[in-house]
Amino acid sequence: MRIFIAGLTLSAMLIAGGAALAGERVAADVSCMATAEKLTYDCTIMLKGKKSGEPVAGAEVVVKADMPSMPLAHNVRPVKAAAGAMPGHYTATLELEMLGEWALTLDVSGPTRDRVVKKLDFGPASDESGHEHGAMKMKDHDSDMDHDGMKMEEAQ
Amino acid sequence: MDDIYLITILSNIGMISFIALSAYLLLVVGEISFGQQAFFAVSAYGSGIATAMWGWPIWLGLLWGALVAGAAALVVAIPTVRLRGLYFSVATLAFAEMVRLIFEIFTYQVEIDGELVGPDGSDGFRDIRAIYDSNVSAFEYMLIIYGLLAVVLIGFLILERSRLGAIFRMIGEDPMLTEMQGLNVTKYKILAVVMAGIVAGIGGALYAHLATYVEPKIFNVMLGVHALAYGLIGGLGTAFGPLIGVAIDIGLLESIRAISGYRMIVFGGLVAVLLIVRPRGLLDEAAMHWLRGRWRGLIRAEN
Repeated sequence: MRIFIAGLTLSAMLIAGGAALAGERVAADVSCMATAEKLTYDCTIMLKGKKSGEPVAGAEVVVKADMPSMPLAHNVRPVKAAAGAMPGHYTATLELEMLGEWALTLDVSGPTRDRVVKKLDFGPASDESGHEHGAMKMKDHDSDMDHDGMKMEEAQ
Repeated sequence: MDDIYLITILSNIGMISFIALSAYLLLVVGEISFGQQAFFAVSAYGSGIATAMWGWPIWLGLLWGALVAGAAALVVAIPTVRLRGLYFSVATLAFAEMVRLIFEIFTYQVEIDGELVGPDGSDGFRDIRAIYDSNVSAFEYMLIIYGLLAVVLIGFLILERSRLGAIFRMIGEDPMLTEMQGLNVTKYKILAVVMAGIVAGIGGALYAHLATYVEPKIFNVMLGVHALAYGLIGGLGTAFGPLIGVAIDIGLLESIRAISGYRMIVFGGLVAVLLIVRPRGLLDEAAMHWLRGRWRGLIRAEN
């Protein structure tokens, strides 16, 4: 039955040629910080309307990670982001399989539906106090929002 | 989340099966290609441009991607198909790297709804959203992937039982002997390269529309080496061989979470061991001959 429904959907797509859904596009800023657990990162996601600049609150955000240099090879379990303290803020904990550049796909649904892809470098964690995985990583390659104090600079 | 995870893995297995089948077809004609990722890439970009920038319907975008990949394969085949062995392999690798480097600098964008859409060099190509905006669920898209894979697989099974399939295998065994039968080996090899390019292209177009984002780095040699390895692991006796290779890598190794971070090392070791123990893979020609014999025996016993 589901195959039949999928077939009908495909037929509808072929006819419609891909009609777009209405809704404002979402801009996302992502920053991640290494946790004490190896290759585990706490990520903060800030969502706002691309044109209006209004925070996107009350959304369901699913984060998927893929490694561009090894496409289809690393299947990291997707995680659902939890709503943060401020409107438009979400948090998610990612368990990656190795260090390097990852593309995070944010699937946003709820008040608006959108997909945003962000590339981040997850480097080895180390901080001045010498904790093996105490602090951080990252470089958000394509951030289209102003960075605030939550984003850390590249450590290494 | 578990459902999304499972669907993602199954979709990945389906999409990479196309490039695995593509490399397998060339292995059948006796050539090792390290460059099938180039056709995957050309189609990913080509189909993405068609749907995201030119507004073409999805089915036409997928068809266009596959045809562009086939045309690219023809361009590669004409000068390289006379090369043998290592020389052909190096030529395909060089071509694939050339394609990747071209995409590193290729910029072609148009403004759609106030957004710049299109390839932007090494920053990649975002918003290939024809499938996403059509509200197709991940499960439905997975069914589309497997529907197209089934069509391609049936095509391969028909090919293997056809005169053309026999000629391909004959070329793979001994091209000189094939030439002595009055067959134009060069022509048939060009045909095989083009067919392989089209198959890889279908996978590339599907991948671009699932991911909604592609960049040159995705199409590096790692993808081509994996595509080749799947056939060598699964076996060259049947088109199911490369699919078994994909299932072992992405399915089995993925399920063993303890080795997840070391999967590439385990996979590389597996390829090395199999090349020594079973040079033509698990389902090689001898294994398929034995299986077919057993199957016929069972049918006879039932009758």
